[in-house]
Amino acid sequence: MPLLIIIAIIIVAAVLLWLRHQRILRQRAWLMREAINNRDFSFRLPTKGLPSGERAMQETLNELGNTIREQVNQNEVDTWERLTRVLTHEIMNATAPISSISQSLLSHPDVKGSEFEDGVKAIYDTSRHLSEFVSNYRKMSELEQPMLGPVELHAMLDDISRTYPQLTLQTNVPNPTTVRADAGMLRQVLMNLVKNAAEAGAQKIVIEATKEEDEGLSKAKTRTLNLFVGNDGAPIPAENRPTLFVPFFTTKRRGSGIGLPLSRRMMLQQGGLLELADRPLLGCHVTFLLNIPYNRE
Amino acid sequence: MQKEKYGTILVIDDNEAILTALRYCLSNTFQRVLTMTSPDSVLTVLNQEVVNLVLLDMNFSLGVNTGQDGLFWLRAIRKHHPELPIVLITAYADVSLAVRGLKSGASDFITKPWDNDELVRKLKDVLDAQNDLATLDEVEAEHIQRAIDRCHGNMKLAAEQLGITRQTLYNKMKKL
Repeated sequence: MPLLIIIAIIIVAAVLLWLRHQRILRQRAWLMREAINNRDFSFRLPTKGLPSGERAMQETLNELGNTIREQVNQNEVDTWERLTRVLTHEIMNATAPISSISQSLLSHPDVKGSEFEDGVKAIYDTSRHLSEFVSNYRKMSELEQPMLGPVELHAMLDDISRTYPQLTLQTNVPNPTTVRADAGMLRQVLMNLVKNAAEAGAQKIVIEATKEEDEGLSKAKTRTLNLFVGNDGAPIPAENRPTLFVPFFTTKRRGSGIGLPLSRRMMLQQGGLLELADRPLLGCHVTFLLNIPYNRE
Repeated sequence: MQKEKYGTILVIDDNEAILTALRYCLSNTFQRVLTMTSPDSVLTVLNQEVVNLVLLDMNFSLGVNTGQDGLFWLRAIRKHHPELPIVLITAYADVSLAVRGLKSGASDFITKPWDNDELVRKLKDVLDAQNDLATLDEVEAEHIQRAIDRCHGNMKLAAEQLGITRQTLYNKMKKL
């Protein structure tokens, strides 16, 4: 009899434990679903204390979230690229006769000094402005393949800080730090961030690097370096944040509106990322986050 | 003092507005500006008229001509009139097509939209270069340099290839 009771208790305990475990798993599923519903694909649930099969599942789900986020960003970029390519082509074709004919008329003796000169000049200036505006977006429609190679980050940052002597660059990036990128593109991206900071009235730029700890992705040959680039210039108002990386959008009077979208696209092409950081660095009003791959050695 | 005008230019573009723009722009530089909206009968026209320069649009709308693209017509004109310089008009982002055109014998290219003064300058340069004949000395010097480069600085080999003695080569080098 007591044996039966013991067995019964063991069975009940086992069932209760199993039910509890299922509830814990359901909680995890709920957390992930909440994150996805909020379009946050960067969730990363801990895998400590999980049995091996479930740890593998959780790691895969964490990885999946990351992949979805990259894909969503890439799709957005691709759509804009296609749109700008078509528009660029049409607008440039159309402005050609407008700017040429108005330019010819401006040098015509009947127009020069006549009451028509101002009008014709306005047509000419406007058509030139339009084609210049569009030619900035030519860069968005050209698919340039990045040439990836080792890039010494510390030296590049040093170089950039010398281009803007009026800004103090505070960095914890060790010398040397080698990442895997297209040197030209990476330089353009960093210069763009620094230039924006200078235009926003910044005096100090803070750059911090942390290596991303990926517990599960131990088989990956490349890891990513998190580079936080912050400045103490004017903060970005909340209503501007959603359109920060959208081409054509600029809040600057003489802005082209392509600096940030182009920079993000260049980072994506190198297998990295460019985003607004969730939390600004200490002492900074605006902080960007760059993910740059580096080879594990 | 204004230089006398250049001869006849033939402009081929399916866009009437572009033809008008170019007629305005080039009438001060050329005696005659002939225009065509389609390259289909260009060879006939070239046989009937004396043309000094062809301005050919590479950006045809589909279906307007027989489906043959700009490169086809470029090569056709080059084949029948190898001495006739051709300048291409390409769409803004179409630099690769322009490069292919240059390799197929075009003299230069412009992209839409263009600056009138820059276009006129390019066309004048193309026509002027045609009239200049290099002197024998210039041709020789260029050829010698090319041979030396090809032989990676090996003077003995270069002299051999040029069919002269090494001493003669050194003498000619001294003159350069």
